[in-house]
Amino acid sequence: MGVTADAGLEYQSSGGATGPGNVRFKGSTSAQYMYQTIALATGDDNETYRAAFNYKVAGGNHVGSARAALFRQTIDYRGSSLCSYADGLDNLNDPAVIGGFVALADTGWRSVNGVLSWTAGTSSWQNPTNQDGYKMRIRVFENVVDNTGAGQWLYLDNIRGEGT
Amino acid sequence: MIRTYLKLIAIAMTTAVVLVGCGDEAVIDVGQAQKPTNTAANFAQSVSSYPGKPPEGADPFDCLATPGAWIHLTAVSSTPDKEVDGAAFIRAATELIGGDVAAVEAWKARANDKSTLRSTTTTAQLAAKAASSGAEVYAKTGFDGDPQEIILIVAFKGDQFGFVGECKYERFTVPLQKRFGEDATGIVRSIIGADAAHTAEVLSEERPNLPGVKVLNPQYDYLGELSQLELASFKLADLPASWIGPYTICTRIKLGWSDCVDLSSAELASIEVSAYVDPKSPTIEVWLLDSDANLREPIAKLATATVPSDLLGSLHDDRTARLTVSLPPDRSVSDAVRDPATAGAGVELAADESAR
Repeated sequence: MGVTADAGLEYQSSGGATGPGNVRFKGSTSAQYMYQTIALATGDDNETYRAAFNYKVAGGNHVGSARAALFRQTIDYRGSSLCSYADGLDNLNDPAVIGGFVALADTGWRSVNGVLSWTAGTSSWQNPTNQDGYKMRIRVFENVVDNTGAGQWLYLDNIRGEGT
Repeated sequence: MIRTYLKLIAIAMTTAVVLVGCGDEAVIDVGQAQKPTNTAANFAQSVSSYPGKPPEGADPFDCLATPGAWIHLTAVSSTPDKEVDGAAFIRAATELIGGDVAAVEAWKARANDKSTLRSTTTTAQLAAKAASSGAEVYAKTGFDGDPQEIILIVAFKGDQFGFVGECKYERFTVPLQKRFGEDATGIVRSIIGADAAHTAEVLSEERPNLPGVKVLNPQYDYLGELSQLELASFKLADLPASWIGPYTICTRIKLGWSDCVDLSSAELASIEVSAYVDPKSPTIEVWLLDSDANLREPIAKLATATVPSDLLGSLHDDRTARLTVSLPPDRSVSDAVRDPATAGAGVELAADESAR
């Protein structure tokens, strides 16, 4: 889990949506984000994905919006191997990322005006073309201020990319 | 069902037998390999001897992630302190940097002085050579549980790095350079003082195999380059039906590529993404690429614009720009693919201030 250069991320040991742990995030602008990345080897499987998160703010006078978006980066598992991999994959030990981050799914900006209890946000399901695999990166953006215009924390839990 | 295959990281399974290959060992000159050329110009080669065919050894990435303690060798004696049964004792001024808890504690608990480390004579001489050249020299210690035993030594000079010792150029430096390309020095620096788990995580990441192409990715910003850039937002104003297809649009600055939007549907094309802008040279390019955003083969440049500095504000403030591209409905993505030279006709890139 990481953040862009001008963003803060803090772990919270209590008060999560479904368990104690959660995080809070604040970017200096709405373009800053927090992220987490995984690699998927899907081969010839046809999958669909969506972005999902739970969010809230800490004060009744905190207003603005938040969004979660899923990005894909194509992986080519190259070459050959004596191993017999499923789904038409050649060699899982020789991955090569061959492209940039492409936006795949987005919850859109969700209002957080005075949202003091955990609220779920999901995107629609998306079906990218079949590739050997993808690096999937979930990102969360926020745009939360108080009534003085000062930036405020967005509280987050269960940030995830979901697949079928 | 998604089948996820986790990359095997064999650190937990590393055995003492495998670890033998991490250290220095006697090398027999069988005369089969060619000595590397251009040694005078290559710092990495200058701190690695080349007695012959590189010996078989453990995977360098596993060796780097062997649990140990990182020690900064702030000065190294030009001659080994003493030699015992083929092992040499490097005498050096040392400073503990960090590492795995057990190895760090073992280093701290050493009863004898902390100015000697055990390796080979050749490694001792090369470490002294590196230090006397002005390089920063770091040793990872704790091989086989002995805090005095060196696992590996790495030196940095300017923007170069090199592993120090017999055949270390071939066995360690080159594989790191091949895997991480121009990011290699920053990545090796990032594991100095790190524990084995963090090191394994850093070294096991799949990375873009894009020679000469850089993805601006905060996850791999080991040199802090991205903190000197503004992160703007970028989106398409609309996606005319004539531009729907298996393509993407990405932005690029001199340093590298930012995010891409997918043209396969109006819904996907409406997703706002991020675009890095260099405030010192705020020119941004918009490119058409294939559906994988294959950065090695961009199809056509659609637009170039200079982002007004007053929209960006200053670094690390709460202001940035919002960039919007408009595609001409009277032209199509097929036109752009067919004739890249005129692909940018009618494409407009606008910038305004992004409200928080």
